[in-house]
Order: sequence, then structure tokens, then C-alpha cells
Amino acid sequence: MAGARARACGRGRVGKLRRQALEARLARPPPPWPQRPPGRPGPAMIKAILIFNNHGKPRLSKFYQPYSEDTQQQIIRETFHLVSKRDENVCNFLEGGLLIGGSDNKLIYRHYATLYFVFCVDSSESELGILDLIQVFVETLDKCFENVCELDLIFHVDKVHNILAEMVMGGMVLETNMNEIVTQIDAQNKLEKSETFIFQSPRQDR
Amino acid sequence: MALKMVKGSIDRMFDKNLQDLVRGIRNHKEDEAKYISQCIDEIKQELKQDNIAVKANAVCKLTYLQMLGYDISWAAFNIIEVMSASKFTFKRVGYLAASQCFHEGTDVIMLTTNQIRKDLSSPSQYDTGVALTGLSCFVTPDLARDLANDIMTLMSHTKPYIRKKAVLIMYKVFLKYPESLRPAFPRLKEKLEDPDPGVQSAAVNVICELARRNPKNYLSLAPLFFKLMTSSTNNWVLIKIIKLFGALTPLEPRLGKKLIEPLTNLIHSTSAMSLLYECVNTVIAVLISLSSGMPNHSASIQLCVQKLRILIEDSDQNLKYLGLLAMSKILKTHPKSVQSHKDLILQCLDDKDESIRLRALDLLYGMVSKKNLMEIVKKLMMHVDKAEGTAYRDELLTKIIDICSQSNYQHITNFEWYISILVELTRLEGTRHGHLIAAQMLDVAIRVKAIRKFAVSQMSALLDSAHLVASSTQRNGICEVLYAAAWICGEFSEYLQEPQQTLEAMLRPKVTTLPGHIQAVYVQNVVKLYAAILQHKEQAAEPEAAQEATQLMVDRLPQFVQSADLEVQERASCVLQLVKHVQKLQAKGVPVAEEVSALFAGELNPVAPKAQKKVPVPEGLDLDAWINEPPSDSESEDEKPKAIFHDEEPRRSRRQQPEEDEEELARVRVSQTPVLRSPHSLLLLLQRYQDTPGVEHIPVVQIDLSVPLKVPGMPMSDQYVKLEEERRHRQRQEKDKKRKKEKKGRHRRHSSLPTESDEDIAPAQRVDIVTEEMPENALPSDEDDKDPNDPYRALDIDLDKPLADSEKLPVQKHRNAETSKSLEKKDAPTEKKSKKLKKKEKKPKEREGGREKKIEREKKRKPRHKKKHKKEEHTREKKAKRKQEHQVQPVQNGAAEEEEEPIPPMSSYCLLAENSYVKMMYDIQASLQKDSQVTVSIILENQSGSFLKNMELNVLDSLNTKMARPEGSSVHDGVPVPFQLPPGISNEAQFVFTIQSIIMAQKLKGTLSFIAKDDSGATHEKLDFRLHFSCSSYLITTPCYSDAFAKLLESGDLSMNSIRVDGISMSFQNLLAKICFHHHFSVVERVDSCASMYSRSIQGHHVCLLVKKGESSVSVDGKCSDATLLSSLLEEMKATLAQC
Repeated sequence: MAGARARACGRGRVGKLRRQALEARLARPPPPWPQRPPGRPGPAMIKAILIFNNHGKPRLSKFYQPYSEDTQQQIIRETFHLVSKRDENVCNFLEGGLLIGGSDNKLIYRHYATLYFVFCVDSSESELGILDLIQVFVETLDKCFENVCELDLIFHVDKVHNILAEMVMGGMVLETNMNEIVTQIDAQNKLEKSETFIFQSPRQDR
Repeated sequence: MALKMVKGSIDRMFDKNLQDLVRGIRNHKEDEAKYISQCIDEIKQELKQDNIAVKANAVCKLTYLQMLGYDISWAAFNIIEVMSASKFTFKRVGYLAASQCFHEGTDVIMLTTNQIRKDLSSPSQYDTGVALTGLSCFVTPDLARDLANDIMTLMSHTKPYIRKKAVLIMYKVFLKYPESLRPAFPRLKEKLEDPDPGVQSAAVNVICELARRNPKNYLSLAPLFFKLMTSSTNNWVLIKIIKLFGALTPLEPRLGKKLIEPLTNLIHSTSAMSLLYECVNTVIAVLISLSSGMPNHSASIQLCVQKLRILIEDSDQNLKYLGLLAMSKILKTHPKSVQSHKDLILQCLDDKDESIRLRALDLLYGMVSKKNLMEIVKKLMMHVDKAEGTAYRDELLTKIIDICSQSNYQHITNFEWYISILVELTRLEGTRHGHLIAAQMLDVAIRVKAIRKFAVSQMSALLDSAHLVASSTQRNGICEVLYAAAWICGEFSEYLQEPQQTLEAMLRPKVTTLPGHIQAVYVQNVVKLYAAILQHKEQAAEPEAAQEATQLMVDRLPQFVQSADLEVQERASCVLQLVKHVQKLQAKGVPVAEEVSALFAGELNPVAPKAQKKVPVPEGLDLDAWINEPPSDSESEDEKPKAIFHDEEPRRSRRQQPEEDEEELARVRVSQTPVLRSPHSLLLLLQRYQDTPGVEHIPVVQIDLSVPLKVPGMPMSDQYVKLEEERRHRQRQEKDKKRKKEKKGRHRRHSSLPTESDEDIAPAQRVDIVTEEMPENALPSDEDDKDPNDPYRALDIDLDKPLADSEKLPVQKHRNAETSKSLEKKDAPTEKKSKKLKKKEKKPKEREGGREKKIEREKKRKPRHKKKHKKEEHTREKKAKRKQEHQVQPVQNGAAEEEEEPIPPMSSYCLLAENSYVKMMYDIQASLQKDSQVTVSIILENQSGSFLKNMELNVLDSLNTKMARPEGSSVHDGVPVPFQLPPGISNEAQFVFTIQSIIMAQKLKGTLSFIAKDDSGATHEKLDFRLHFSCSSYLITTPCYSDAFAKLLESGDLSMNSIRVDGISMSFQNLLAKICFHHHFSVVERVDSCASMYSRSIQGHHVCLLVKKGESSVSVDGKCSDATLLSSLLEEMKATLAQC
């Protein structure tokens, strides 16, 4: 019944106008993605951050250069293909990701249990520095989720994004101090909680 | 309202949230796509609802689906709705979705400008933070331009959390809007010394990245960074700075010398591997830049190499990898120090880790010498055999070829060995690099004359062996070598032992399975072979054998004639006809060999890859000009059907041709030949050298027969290694005897850095490498092909120049409704806008996208701008660039040439009032469209640490002058300022005033009231001011031509007045500039130290001035249609001049 009333609401004047705008938008083809000639350096120093599991299922994808959804999926697949066939005790650097920009770029990854954390960076980043950063990222996740496991990432990808946003901004390293990151995340969660009492549905879990 | 809220949350109970969506997808593994499309339908329903919480939930789910590869750009508008939610929770969801799916092509992105601005100035630091984070992912040139100033002010925010984000995002802004770099740079530099380490690190990050792209502009910061490097303890910052120094040192060697010591200290002291590694890297960069004549740094190199060796020997694969990476940098300049670690590097070739093997391969490239080339290549060949996976094997193959061919085959002493290596490589299955091998074979065979005989024998064996042709379709990569083999056998057929056999091999039916371009080469070279056989047989007086060969050709060629490939077909039919003709002649017993081989007389020389580019364009040749008039579209349409119907005509005309005057033809021929032969002709590149003198200058060298040539069947390259060792041994012995008598001269080589060990080894054959052809008078240019589209080129900006007024970032202005309406009409130029005009002028292209505010601004300024340009001379443009403040004065004659002393910067804004909270600057702008209205722009700058809000401006109206207030408000109400001011921020507000009479200056009393809020609480504050409306502010710069000016003066309707000011030291040029700028006049004419000037008031008064400069005084005579206005103006001018 509540659903019916909601629909009645949508039939109001504003709703109708919006729907028209929406439908007009749907009729149009999606806007073209900017074409980047291969090998041309993009503006970001960290080009992309990917998390996927041992089967290549993406758990988080953050691209700091514009790519279409299809290309993004291709990049994830290619990266998984490159990373997954490597042994456990080889180095964590990998060259030759063809899709995500030319020879200047490297894949730097770490493998934790069921998850791969992959950073695609250009030569301005220190390789060992990024490895440390991945470690900081994982430790921060561990703190924020209390014993993080793949399920946390599966169900709370938005929170992972928020944590990542405190560490890397627009492809540049923003903060490497874990305590500072955790403080900011906690403060934001508190702010969120103070807002929720009005609209929180009882089913908002964890 | 409350009911609605409750209803919203009840609705939500039935919506899926993100967790439900994820769970649902996991439960529908079989029909995931169907389930998701169902969910998307639901989401679309949710987006239609009014409840923002429902919308945010829907957008949150969409963000998840985006990660799975679903296009969500259709929801861009809804995402913006969620971004503009007042609650942080929703806002964050919106910005996250936007950062994941917005890009420059998203059309609704222009709707976000105001929302983002609002969020940036939000009192909550997390609203600001989330907006900055989102913006960093989708900033466009438009957003960057419109928000640059807002972000710049945030760089001085009280909260370090905001400061560091604002600093970091500036990099993105610079990239999208390079004009912002200079105005923002001083503040960015300030942030290098910010008390907060996070902000400091962000500033270092941004400047390092800028400097990496355009290092020369940042050299002046070196001392500051040096200080930071010695004082900072943050490894992240140190790494960045050290990396930056690596980029700076090549430009400033002195810096390098200074760096060595602290860096070596760091190398010794640090325990952080990442820092150690970057230090080593930078020391290497420094040493490279110092490499010329700095022998005393060998200790540093040793230290680096030692440290790297430790890294490479480490069990941690990461360090091993990085060690090898850094080693390859040393290799370029100090190959010897690396070569001593050859053992270690060769060991890495056997590593199980492919990344490490590849790095080691890179190093090998620089480590080969004449001495060890064979040995290293042998090792690589072993790896080729072992390698699993084609990718790595292909990499090995290219490396082998790279190593061998580097710097003109510098290290190869025995080309027979090299050819056999290449032949061995052809056995690789499934490689992609067949064409590489083929290119090498061709190159070596053409350029190393002495090797041709051997090469031909090897190639004929290749042609003969079935393995390449067989199943060529499956591994078409490698069959490319047949292209080279066929060509070499054909071109150098005189060296063939068994030409008939090779001819037969090339005419086998299986050949037709090869790719078209290879078959084409086969057909062409079959003829060359055939010509050689004919020649041979005729000389040997064996006409039957010659006829046999002809018969073979006639029998086999039809298989090519049937080819589907046009090129093959065409060549084959030509050749077939030729051979048939030869057959007829042979039947008559006519010797034909000479004529057939004349087809291929002469020699082909290699042409340098850049030769074509270097041919200078001869004078008077326009390559873009049409040779014939281009057929117009209509013509060609008309003529095509004609040609079909009148097919006969062209043929007839062709038949007529021979009847044409013989002399005429001869003339044409003569005139054509020089063109064909001239060095400018493209044909040169393919030209055969008919005249032998050209070939003779290349000495043909005999092969040293001390090396047995006959290696049965396919020679294994290993045999050569053994032979080579023996030969060297022999040489060494001989040399020892000789040494006392004479020193052996260096052998001829083009570019080499022969090491001592190299010099000892003489090559097996004295090989002459034929140099590549270059056209005569080739341009000596070596302009590197820089990418003109490189986004960083725009940021190549000199940052040490003082900032000009014109470069200030555009401040978004508030506009009252009346003004914007009035602006739609366009008319004569105003001067006060000149600075902003300038800004527009600089912009390379007008960006599209109709943000309302922008359009308004464009309307306001652009039309006038254009008009001005039409009216005035082009020369003025140049002048305007040099002197920004001057650009509006129409100097037409006399003034433009001389002068050239810098004009001091002028600002039309003057102080209105100031207290500890706020500083007010104002400027009055008039426009011709409204004869009784002016706009007052007030810049409000928050000077305190408090947050200023609820600002309201009120003035006490006079009878003559009134402030325009919103409709419905009384004359005593204030006008609210449409923004709030966080600490340290400034912004500009505009107010409209109506004026009845403009002939007198006016002063209005006014008050600014506001609430200042800080941590301790909020206080109500006031600031009083007096707004001075000068008469000059009613004037509008209007250009006037001298004849019109003269007529005006003659008309005699003007009243006159004059002033005189003494004690003026300023130059006349600057003086005029000042009058133009502050009083809105334009120069009509200037002769020596005398100038006539003109201006017009908004109510149409003409004002003419004659300014004369004496020794140290200036006199101004004025004529104006209103005497009061004139005297007021002159008074104001007197005050201005008195300051000069």
C-alpha cells in the first residue's frame, strides 16, 4: 500500500517533468568517453586502484583516468590475468599492462588471502612507497572493519571507497598516516550517525 | 511534512539497500544479468521518487553496478540531485557516484558548478572535503576555470584537512586550466612550509609533479627543497623531493655537486629501503649529469653499484627487481662499473620471475662487447629453447636482435655467425616477430657486402626447406622471413650456387598458400633469378638449358596469375607475357639474356629512414597547391556518365598520340628528366644506380678465407663460436709478436665507444657497412617529434615573473537582475572591464556549454570586445599585450613607436573601509546602456579567523543617488550579500545604484552589518563606510577619430576650463596611461609631449582634453558640454596628477 502511495506521488507535476527529462536522457546514446591515445601519460600518478579476488571478481575499482565501463572491465580482466598467473614468491612489480597506458606504467600489487590489491602507477611514484601504501590501506581496512575479510569488502564497497578517498585523491597520495586516516573516517561516521536518526530504516545493518 | 518523512521511511523498508542487492546478485548466480536488469528497473522507479534518502540509496546501488561494468551515465542527473542533498551522508554517496562515472563528456556536469561552489564554502569541513575529493576525479576545464579561485582560497583554510586536499587538487586544476598556475603558485609555495606535515607533503607532491614535467621553471625552488630535504623526516616527502632533484640536476650541474654529499649520507644512514633506493636513483641521475670530466665521483658510483648489488643479491624479489632497474640507469653512462657484475646479471636471467628476467635482459643490452657477444647470445638462445609462453620468447627474440644490431652492428665481428643465428631463430614456432628477423636479414645482406654470398646460400636453403612454407597459415608470423629470403636470393642471384634449384623451390605450388605480399616478392624475384640463369646459360652456350628454364617459368607462373591477391596477379601476368615473348625469341635462336637482365641492372642502396623527411622543399614549390584544378563536385557528377556513353572518344585520342609532333614529345621528355633525377624527387629513393661510379666508391671487400665457409646444411651458430675462439687465439699470438713493432690502428667503424678489450679483437672479415643514403643537401635538422598535444606543455610557464594584474583568477561575481538584463544590449566598450577582457582574449578557444552565469558574462563582455577590435588597428593588439593597462586607449599615430618603460601596475579598486574582521575594496562601473545607473563592485575580504555570515549592506540614499533594492523592500532595508565568508576568503558582490544627475561627485554613507562566528560564539558586527561616486566613474572610454574630434572642438558648443599641476616626475607615457585608466579617457592623438584625449559620459556629455607636459609640470585644458561636470572632472584629475 505504501508502494502505491509512493507511485501516486511520482505522478505529481514535478515527478512527471523529471521523468520526461529522464526518458529523454535514456533515448540519447551515452556521451562519448574521451579517447586517450595509447602511451600518452594521463594526469594522474596513480592511474587505477583495483581489488579483485582469486577468481577475478572485482571488489573495488577506482580509475583516476576516464575509461568507459567496457574498457574498465577489460582492464580488470587483463590485470587479473597478468597478476593471477604469477607465483607467490616473485616480485610485486609487473610491467606490460597494455590497456592502461604505455611503458611508463607499472602494476604494483599485493596478494592477501583471497584478495589482490593492485595499484597501477606511473614512474613518478616510488615502487616501494606504493607497496607500503597498500599495506597501510589494508591495515586501515582491518581497523575500520575489525578483522577485515572479503565479505566486508563485498557488502560495504562504499565504505571502502570512503576509506580510500582519505588516502588517495585524484590519483595522488593524500595521506599515509594510518591514525590520521582512521580519525577522519571515524569523525565522518559520527557525523553520518548524527544525521541518520530521522531517516534510518531499521534494516541498516553494520 | 512529518507525515511525509514517516512515509518515506516506510517506503524504504521495501526498497533494497546495497547489501540486499549484493546478496541478491550472489543468490542469482545463474541468471545474474536478468536479476540485475530487474534491479535496474527498480532503481529507476526509486529515482523517480521525491524522497532524497530513497534516491541516495538508489544511486549507491548504481555505483556498485558500475563496478560490475554497467553503464550508469543515464542517471547522471539523479546523481547531481543526490550530490546537492543537504545531508552529508547522501552528499557523499552522490559525489562518490559522480567520481566513478562523470568525465569530460558528461553533459550535465556543467550543472554542478554552483553546487560544488556551495559545498566548497560549506561550514562543515567534511562537506568541503567530499566535494574536493569528488571534483578531483571529474574536474573539467570549465569547472577548473570557474572554481580555481574558490579552491585557491581553500588552500589557506584553517583546517589542515581541507588545506591538504585543496593543495592537492590544484594540480588537477592547473592541468585543466593552465592560466591558474601563475596566480596560485605563490600560495602553493607557501604551503611547502606549512606547519601540518600532511599539507606540506601535498604541496611537495604537487610541485614535484609539476617540476617533473617542466623542470626548468622550478630550478629557483631548489634551495627551498634542499632545506626541506635536510630537515624533513617524513620518508614520503623525502622520496618525492629526492625524485624531484633527479629531474632538476640535469639542468643545473652545480646543484648535483651539492647534492652528492647529503645523498650519500642518507644512503649510509637510512634504514628504509624505499628511501635508500630513491637516493641511489638520484645519485645516479646526478652522476649522469656530471658525467663529463668528474673523475672524483667514481667513489659515489662504486657506492651505488655496491648498494645495488646488495639489493640484487637480496632474497626479496622486489629489491632484486629494483636493483636491476637502477643498474640499467648506471649502465648508460658508466657501463664499465656494471659490466663487472655480469655474473650476477646473467644469473638473474635464470630467475623464475619473469619481471626480473626481463630487467636482466635490458641490462644485457648495454653489457655486450665484441668479446662476449657470442657467448651472451648463445646463452639467450638456450633460453629461447627453454622458454615457455610465447610472450617471453618473443621478448628474448627481440632482445637478441636488439643486442646484435645495436649501434650499427658494433659488436658483431662475424656476420656469418649472425646470419646463422637469424636462420636459427626462424625455427621458433608461433612468434610474432618474423618481420623483425626478415628486416635484419635484408639489412645485413644489403649493407654488409662481404656477407652476401653466404647470406644467399643460407637463404636459398631456407627457401628450399619445407618447414616454413608448410602450414604457413597457422604460424604466419615466421613466414615473413621468406619475404627476405626470396628478395635476397633474387637480388643477389649472381652468388647462387644452384640457381635452377632455387628457382624451382620458388615456383612450387605450395608457395601459393603464402600471404599475398610474400608471393608478390616471389614473383618479382623469380624473374631476377630467371634473368641470371639465362645470362649464365647463354654464356656457357647451353641454349637448351636456358629454354628449359623458360619452359619451367611458363608452366609454373599461371598458378600466380590465378591468385586472388591483385598485386600477385598483376605482376604474374606481366611476367608471364614477358617470358612468353622471350620464349618466342629463344625459339628463333636470338640471344635475350642481356636484355632480360637489363631489367634489373644496377644496385640498390639502403636509404636512411629519415631521408625522405630531410629532403628540403625547393624554393617556389608549394606542396599543397593543386597540380590540376580540383574537379568541382558538380563537374565530376556530370562527367562520369558522359565517360560511359562516349567511351570511344578517349581511345581515339590515345591512338592519335603517336601522330603528335615528335619534337614536342622530345621536349617534354627533356624537361621531365631533370625532375625525375633531381634529389627532390621521391623517385630517387627507389632509384637504381645505373651509373657505376656511384657504386665504385664503396669498396668491395674480399672475405677472409681463413675461416672455412662451408658449413654443411644448416650451420649451427655454435660452430662459429668455437671457430671464433680459435681465430682470436691465433690473432692474439700474432699480435703479441707485432706489438713491439707497431700499434694496430683502429678498424673502420661508424660510431663506437671501443673499450680496451674491444680493440684487441679484429673482426673475422674486414666488413664494410654501407652507409645509408641521404639526399643531397639534406636538412641538418634533428627536431625531435614532440607531441604538440602533450597536456603538460601548457604548464610550461615561467613562475618567477611577477604576476600581472591580468592574470588574476576570475572571481565569480554576483549580479543583480537589472544589470544582467541591461547587458543583453551591446554597445561601446567600457574600460574598467579591460582586465577581465584580457582574460577572455587569452583563452585559446571559447568553450561551449551553456552555464547560465557564463553566458551572461560572455554577453556582457564579448560583443564589446569584438567591436573594439573591428574599429581599431591590428597594431594595437601587440601593444595591448605589452601593456595591459593600456589596451583600451586608441593610440593611432605617433605614440606606438617610442616609449617602452614599464607601466606600474594599476588597480581601479580602492579601499572603502576596513576593520579587524573585514576589508572592503570597491570600484564603480558605468555602462552606456543605462544613462542613470552604475554598478558598484565591492570585494569583501575576511581578515579574521571567524566565519562571517548574514552580511548585509545598506546605504543612506540621497535625493540624487539611490541604491537599487529588491522589490518590496523599503528604502531603509539593507541588501543582503549573497555569500558567506570563511576565514581568509574574499569574494566580490555587486550593487546597482541609480543616479539622476552626474555632473557632481557624490558621497553616500553606508554600513555593512554581519555576524562573525568563531569557536567562542557569534557576535553581531558593523562596519561603516563612505561610498565616493566620482565624476570620472560616470565616464566611459570611447574611442574617437581625430577628424571627428576636430569637428567637435570646432562646433563651439563646449565650455572650457583648465588646470595646471607642477612637480611631476612621471614620464608622459605613464601619465597618459594613468589618465586613461583612472579617468576613462582615450588618446585621440599624440605629438611629442602633447596629447588630445576624449571621453563620454553615460548621459552623453562629450569631454575633450588637451594635455601638455612641460619640464616638470602638466597642463590640462578641457572642453565639455557641461561646465560643472568639466570642473569636477578636472578637480579629480588634479588630485590624480598630484600623486605622480
